[in-house]
Amino acid sequence: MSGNNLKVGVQSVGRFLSGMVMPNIGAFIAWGLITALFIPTGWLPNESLAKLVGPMILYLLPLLIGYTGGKMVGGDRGAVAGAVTTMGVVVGTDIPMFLGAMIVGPLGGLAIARFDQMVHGKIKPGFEMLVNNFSLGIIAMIMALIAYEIIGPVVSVVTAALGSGVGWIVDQSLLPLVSIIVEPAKILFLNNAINHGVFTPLGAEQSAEFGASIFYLIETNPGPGLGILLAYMIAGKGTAQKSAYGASIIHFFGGIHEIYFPYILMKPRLIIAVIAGGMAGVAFNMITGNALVGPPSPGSVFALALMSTKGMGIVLTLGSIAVAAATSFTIAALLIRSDASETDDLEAAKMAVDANKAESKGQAVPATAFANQTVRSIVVACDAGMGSSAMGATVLRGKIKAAGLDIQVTNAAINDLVDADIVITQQELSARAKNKLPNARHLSIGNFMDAGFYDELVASLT
Amino acid sequence: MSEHLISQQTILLDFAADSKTDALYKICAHLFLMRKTQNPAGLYDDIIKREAIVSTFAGQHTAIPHVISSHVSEPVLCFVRLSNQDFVWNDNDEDVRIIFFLSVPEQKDLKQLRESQSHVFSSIAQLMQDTHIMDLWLTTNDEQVILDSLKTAFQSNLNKKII
Repeated sequence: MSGNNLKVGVQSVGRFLSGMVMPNIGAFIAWGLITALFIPTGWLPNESLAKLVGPMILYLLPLLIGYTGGKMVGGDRGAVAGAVTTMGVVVGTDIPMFLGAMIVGPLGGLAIARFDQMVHGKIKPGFEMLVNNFSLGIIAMIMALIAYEIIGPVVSVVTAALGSGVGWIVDQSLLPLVSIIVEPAKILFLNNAINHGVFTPLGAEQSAEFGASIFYLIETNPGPGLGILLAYMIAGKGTAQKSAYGASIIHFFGGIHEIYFPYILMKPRLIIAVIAGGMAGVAFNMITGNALVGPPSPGSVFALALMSTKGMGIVLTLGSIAVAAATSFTIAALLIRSDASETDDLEAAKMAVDANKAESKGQAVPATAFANQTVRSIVVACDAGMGSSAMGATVLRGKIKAAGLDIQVTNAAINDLVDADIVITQQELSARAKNKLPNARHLSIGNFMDAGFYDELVASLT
Repeated sequence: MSEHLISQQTILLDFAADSKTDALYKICAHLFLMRKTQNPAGLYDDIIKREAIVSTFAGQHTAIPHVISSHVSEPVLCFVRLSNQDFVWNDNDEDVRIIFFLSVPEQKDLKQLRESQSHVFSSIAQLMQDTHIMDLWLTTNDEQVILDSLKTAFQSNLNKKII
């Protein structure tokens, strides 16, 4: 029971975290491409264009994550508060504050959402705009200060603790076990902190003495991540599967590991696969004595190959990537297969986005959008609840009945909405309906006699 | 109640109107002549306010303006068929041939009011899905035929509710 609760808890946290990252994957790709191309070890080194790399990873990406996190909790106002709050953790550190952004972005959104709830209906008419803007400004400012003073330092301490944990394991000569810390830390976007904060200095020390170091090969090995993406390609389904192809190219050849993190956040159990993959890779390098002469950056297969020692080095490096990828792939594929019945979060997230888009355009929902949800009641709502909605409910009820579905269809006035799984309103009234019943799924319809809309809805419910 | 809701006098075939507002205004005026309202201007204001919230265009060449108004003393439904072929409801190519105009007096218990009136548009929606009925509504010159089609549907839906 409690184990199950824990599982559900971990899953929903993971889903929440990946929900913050997934909408911004495009920005990660933009940053990844710029990085892979223009940094000194990139494909087209360019000092001037490489200036984009730092500010993008330090500011843009965490702010986008904080913005999205705030939006998930507090809507558009929450998004702005989330971004401002994120600024508090971003400033004053030199590591990318993804973890911090994922914590404080939603907190900023929560603060403004709570405030809005508190003052709802208490603002004098005419002062709404003033109160809205200033409350947002003041609350966001306070949250940014809190983030700067408290949360930023806490995240820095956590990062440092992870670093010393890695250091301790290295001291105990239990190198493969280091993956138990490194791989989960990577998923929380501490990859650069760990690599450049811990392994690069350790590696530099060692390679100064021996000419090469295994430390350069621990965090940078693209094998475990590649295994995950390959597993999604073969055993996954839906959008996660389709997008894994592109992601694997950016990850493996471009060396932008960030791209695979959301795929693990989506199914946190996959962390086992990357840990095992990482351990296998480290063990392989330990046994064969393989090492790299310098830090490969970014962690792409090309950079690793270039940094390999002369002679057999390149073969061993590729071997360690292959071993890590194969291990991670095997475990991940089994885990994804066994999860096959569960909803694919990326899919669900994307569908939710599509449904929202369709809503705003007043179009029908895409088929299968509801396939995995239990829908027991649909309310067709309009202003008065006796005209348009009565017509709509009648048409939909007929179609639901014809499809043999056990779903109650009623009509109501928006002000009388009390409970429903799905609420259908005309576009102009959707915002009001959402306010009244925020937990229901809301669909917008152009006119209530639009049979095509109902046909698609019924198809998506069967 | 449904006895008085609609009668031959509130079925208007070959109705000429240039625009939505013109049509609504003329319907209110007609209801005044039929002694259904004492204040056609007030009723017109109410229906226009309701229409401003969201259009009542219902597709299939039909619009269903409806309002809860203190300017009627009992529910009244009009069936209006437009004579000019180029009539549109909202300038968005919403080609309308038939207008169902429903006005219901204010009542304390709004919820009960809605429940008692839902059967009207519910029945109309059922009828609109029947192409024969639509053809009949668009072509017949006999008010009684339209009246019968509507009353049968109202009656059967009301009975269903009682059971």
